[in-house]
Amino acid sequence: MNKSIQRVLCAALAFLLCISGASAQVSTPSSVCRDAGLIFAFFNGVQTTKAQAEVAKQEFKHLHGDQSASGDRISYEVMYNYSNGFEDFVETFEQRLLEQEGLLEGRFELFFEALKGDGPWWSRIIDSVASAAGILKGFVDWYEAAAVRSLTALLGNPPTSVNYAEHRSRIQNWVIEGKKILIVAHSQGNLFANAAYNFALSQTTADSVKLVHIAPASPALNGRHTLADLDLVINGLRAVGSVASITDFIPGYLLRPAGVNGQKDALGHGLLEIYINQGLVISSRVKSHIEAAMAALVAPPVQATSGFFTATLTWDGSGDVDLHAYEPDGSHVYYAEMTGNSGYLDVDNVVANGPEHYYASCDAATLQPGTYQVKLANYNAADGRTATVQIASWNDGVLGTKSVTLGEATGDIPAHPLFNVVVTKNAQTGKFSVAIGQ
Amino acid sequence: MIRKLLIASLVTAVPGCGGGGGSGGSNTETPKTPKEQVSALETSGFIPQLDRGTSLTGSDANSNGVRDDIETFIAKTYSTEPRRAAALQTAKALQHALVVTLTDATAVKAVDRQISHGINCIYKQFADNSPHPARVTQELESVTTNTKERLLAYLQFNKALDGTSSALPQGDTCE
Repeated sequence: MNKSIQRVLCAALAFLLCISGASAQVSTPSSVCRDAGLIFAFFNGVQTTKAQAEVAKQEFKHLHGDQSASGDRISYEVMYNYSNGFEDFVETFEQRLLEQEGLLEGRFELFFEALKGDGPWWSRIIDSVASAAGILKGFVDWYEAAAVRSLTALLGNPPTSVNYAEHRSRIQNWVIEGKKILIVAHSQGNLFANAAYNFALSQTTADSVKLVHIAPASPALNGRHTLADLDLVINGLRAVGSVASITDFIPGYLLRPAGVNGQKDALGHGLLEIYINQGLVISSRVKSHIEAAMAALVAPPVQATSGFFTATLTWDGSGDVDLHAYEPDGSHVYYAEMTGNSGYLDVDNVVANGPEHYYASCDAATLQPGTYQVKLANYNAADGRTATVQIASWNDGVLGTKSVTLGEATGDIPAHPLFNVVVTKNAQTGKFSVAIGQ
Repeated sequence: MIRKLLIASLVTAVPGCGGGGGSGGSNTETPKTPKEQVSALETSGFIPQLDRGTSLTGSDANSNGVRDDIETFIAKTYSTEPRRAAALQTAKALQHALVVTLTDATAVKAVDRQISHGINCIYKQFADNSPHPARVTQELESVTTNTKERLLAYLQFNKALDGTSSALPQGDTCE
């Protein structure tokens, strides 16, 4: 039997597995996963740490819940972007701490509060030593200009989806698993979100992916937006180029209620302090945009099953690249043997780009603890292509993404070992967990 | 203004911070310098009192992965054991961020996941918003990065996460 015929039969089998797998996942009592129908993908703003982006994700969950109005369970994800030059801000902050005869010398714990221009610790210091307010104001004034410079530089050299392989692969995985995708972006995250949105449109239709812009640093919009009149960062960008129109007026700094973190943000640009601050009317616009976008989303066709963990393969052009999974009991799962003892290859591609998709079962009776080896083969005509494999768990999202340049064709022999995925079962609780091993 | 007066009176009430000479019951007070006033805030617990050594890891006498000064800060700042445990879990994960090998993408993501689980636990244990879990998280992030070396190391960790994604975990992630 040649590979094409074999693959047609396997594809039919995979389709049946996909349908039965999907239904088993939600109805089997022994399921160890909870599937989501809607992805809330948050792209963070300028000078945001990953932990702060995690907090934003938690706050969005608090505001929008576990389930959409149409009954889809929501999975919240952060698509993180770092602001280049963030570390340079530390040098300037250090200089400010040395002012007034070293009044605050070495107190770098005040840094993150200072980025918002206020905070409980700064307030206590200023209450005791009023002149410390001058140190904070000097830093905030400098920071305002520096943030605008940082965003202007980014606008001059905007990110493309090519720079963000993990984001791209993640979106591709959501599409083939039939997820509705809501992208919500704040500040500089809008530039990354626009690139991600355009990539998503190459994989699915505009019915299945929506974008909501918050304080967009980009003049290009792909959805509804919210922008405060006293957002000094975006106003600074307006001075050097075009930005989106103002949608809302917010109270001046002294009249604003603080956000959940106890801060008001002197620059009027913060997500928690301004745009999702439930004490400000502007937050209702953001919320209504998100809820309207959720309601309008239509699920793309399901091509693959969400598993306990998944391995998704893509590559950058024509050729036939194969995903191989070796399960703990030695079962070899690939195009010629799509059903293993714990998982399945449910998407196969023999032409170009991928994806190929393996998933491990959510059924506790089927899922084997142990090491799953994930490897690649250039089956044919993919020499020199860059292939990317992403491992993701149902609970934590992406565990790892690796790319490799393929060598010459090796047929069914996988020459590129990429991941050891370790599934463990707690003997006392029976709870399964998964991690990338050595 | 009321807060200012309250803090000033509390600071002066703390033994050793009030400026009184102590001997002979003198009422004469030597005015504090601004720097001494800030130190008094630290001593009295209005702002955190932290180790400012040059090492990334600081002192960890009980080897639980959390700097001793941060452990003291947590014990003083947050009430109830489950809350302190959530704060310690997150502080330990944030401490890992300073020392993880940044060229090891898998290890960096594993630390990121520990932080995510810690924050998720904080949101569970501080669900009454008193203090708000967003504030708790920021306090822990700030005390972990209280020196230039620690802050720069932490920002490098964040830089290593550029372009990654992560999901909000389901269920109880408290350890």
